[in-house]
Amino acid sequence: MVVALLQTWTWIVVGIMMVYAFRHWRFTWNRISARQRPYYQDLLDSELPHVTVIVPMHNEAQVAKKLLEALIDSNYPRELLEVIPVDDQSGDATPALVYEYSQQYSFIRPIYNLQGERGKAHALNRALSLASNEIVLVFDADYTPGRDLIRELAMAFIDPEVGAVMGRVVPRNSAVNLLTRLLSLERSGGYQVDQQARYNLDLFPQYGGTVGGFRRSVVVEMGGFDALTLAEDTDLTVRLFIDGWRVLYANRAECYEEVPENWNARFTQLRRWARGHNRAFFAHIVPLMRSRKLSFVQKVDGALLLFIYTVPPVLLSGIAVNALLFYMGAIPVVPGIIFAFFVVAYNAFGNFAPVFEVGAAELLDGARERLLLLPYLFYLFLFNSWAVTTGAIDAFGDFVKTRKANWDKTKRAGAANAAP
Amino acid sequence: MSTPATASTIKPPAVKQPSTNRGLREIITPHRSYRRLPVTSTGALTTIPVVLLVELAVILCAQRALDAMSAFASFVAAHENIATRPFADPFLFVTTHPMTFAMRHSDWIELCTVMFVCLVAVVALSIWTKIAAPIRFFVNLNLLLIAGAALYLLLVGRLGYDSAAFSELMVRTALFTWLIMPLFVGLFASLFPFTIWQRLLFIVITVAYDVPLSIVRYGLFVAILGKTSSIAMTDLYLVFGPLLDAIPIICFFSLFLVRVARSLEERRAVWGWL
Repeated sequence: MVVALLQTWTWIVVGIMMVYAFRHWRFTWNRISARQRPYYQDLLDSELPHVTVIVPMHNEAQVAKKLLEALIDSNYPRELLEVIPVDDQSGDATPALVYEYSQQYSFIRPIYNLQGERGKAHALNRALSLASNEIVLVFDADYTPGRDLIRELAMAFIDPEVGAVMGRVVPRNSAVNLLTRLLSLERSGGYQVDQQARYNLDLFPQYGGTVGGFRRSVVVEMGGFDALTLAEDTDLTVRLFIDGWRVLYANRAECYEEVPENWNARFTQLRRWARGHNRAFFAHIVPLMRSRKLSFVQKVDGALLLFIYTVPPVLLSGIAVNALLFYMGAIPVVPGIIFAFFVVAYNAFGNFAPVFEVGAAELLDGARERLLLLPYLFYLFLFNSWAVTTGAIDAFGDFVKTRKANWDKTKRAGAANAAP
Repeated sequence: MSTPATASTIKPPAVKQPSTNRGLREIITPHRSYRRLPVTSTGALTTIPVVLLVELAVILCAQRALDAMSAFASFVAAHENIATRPFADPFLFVTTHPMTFAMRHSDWIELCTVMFVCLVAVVALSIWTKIAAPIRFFVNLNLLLIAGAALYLLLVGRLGYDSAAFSELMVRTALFTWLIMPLFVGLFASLFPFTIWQRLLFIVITVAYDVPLSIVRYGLFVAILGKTSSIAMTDLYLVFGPLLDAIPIICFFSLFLVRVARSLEERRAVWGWL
């Protein structure tokens, strides 16, 4: 009986891995061979919308200057632009820096959150209550937007059905060490292929919380960002889809970011993402499946997207079950081998962006020798799996105890102030 | 001494000829966000006969490869003075020759010691952060599998696999791996703009590499288990078994992709626009 149950679980895990591997195979095939769905940035529209850019900041003195300079340098008309840096109880020179810029440029209107609740969702809610414009773009402080980026993202909102838009994130510090190089590969697969294919196929492109934007009125009407969540981006994406809004992905709208340069920072980041994402999974899976505004295929893809941070714990459980079956002398040979192969196909070489997806993305990006790094993605396998599993356990605890999670900010290395 | 310039030696300045259809002749490489690869369904479908061809080759050569596997393991065991007794095991379309080999029995003191050492090492590696986290996690996984086996042996008395069953499992795993691998590699190959020869080479080379890998690994496992005890058996199979077979696929895959990238760079006209 126990053996049968364990073997069944192995088959279930194999099934899950196969579903995800084929889902991403489909995405890769679509991205590299099918006709791509155009974005709106080629629209020549003289009536650009008024835009508010919100930048949540907590101890960002190392990186904030670069971002503010980039926003000042943007070619978006100043009279249509408002920048709200939200200093979220920083203990460093961030408030002074922001104040200095606000004195020089009237369109920079900072908010100082000196006490009370903090965290990205709180910072966004405060900024939303004071924002003057309907179209809101969000950047993290370690990002460096190009001159055209605000226009490229804002253009999408000319379409009244668009609720949110997401641009492409490109690591700026990818040459620092092996970790940053591997993260650069993962980002490439995740945006160049995964997000674009989901946009092409009219599935579930995700608003990523930064290098993107949304309609202020829609978010305010939804009650703002959920302060209990650490993944306000996933939360907003799903809520928008459930309400029938469209979320777009703009592959051409590239923005540069600083990826974590050490293992501790990466572990904390992944754990936080997993915690927030799984929390969104618990909160939204039922409303998503019951939504009447989504097609069946969109519901399936949305469910798979929400479940994605639950896959690593499931995978680790599969390894544990296989070990137990081996101790008992009952390991099933064929599912065992298929399990190993599909672990490799989906998760062992790349975190949610399988190795073939990363390979395709790098080819599209014009990479050559960098492709030789693909086998090194295996180095991250157990690390990613364990980080996500701890986050999933945290999320389960949060859900059961309805407790609020603390925002563990990713530590910056400060590469943003270096030359790009 | 330079010759003074005369009217006959002075060349008239070059007149820039107006180019015709300049815009049409230039190859404008699309920005990376607008690119597509030169992949077609027909090209991808050529993977199917290639996979079938390799499958046929595997079926034809499997018996010899499995015999070589048993022969090499017997040779290693003989070299290490491990007593073995092969037996015939008809399986699918082949007759395999797994073997019974002598394994040392671990007493409870040894099992407790192994468990203690493994757990102390896991705790130490969790605290000591000088080593990169992925390496620590990988070592910890191995240690936990070994500690788990020791605990199971302590509680139950023996693992589910004796030497004969483990040998049979290894041989069958190798056969299934060779059979599944072409299909799996074919899925990868179908996505990319490989030529039919590149597809064939990619699939053949991964399977061809896996055969000696399986043979050598089986011999090593027999030697390790014959010299130690069954404590390490689970770790050997789960970490260095089928999972290890899949890793070279990615290595070959990356090498072939570099080749494709070079070819795309040389033939910029192949980039597709939206």
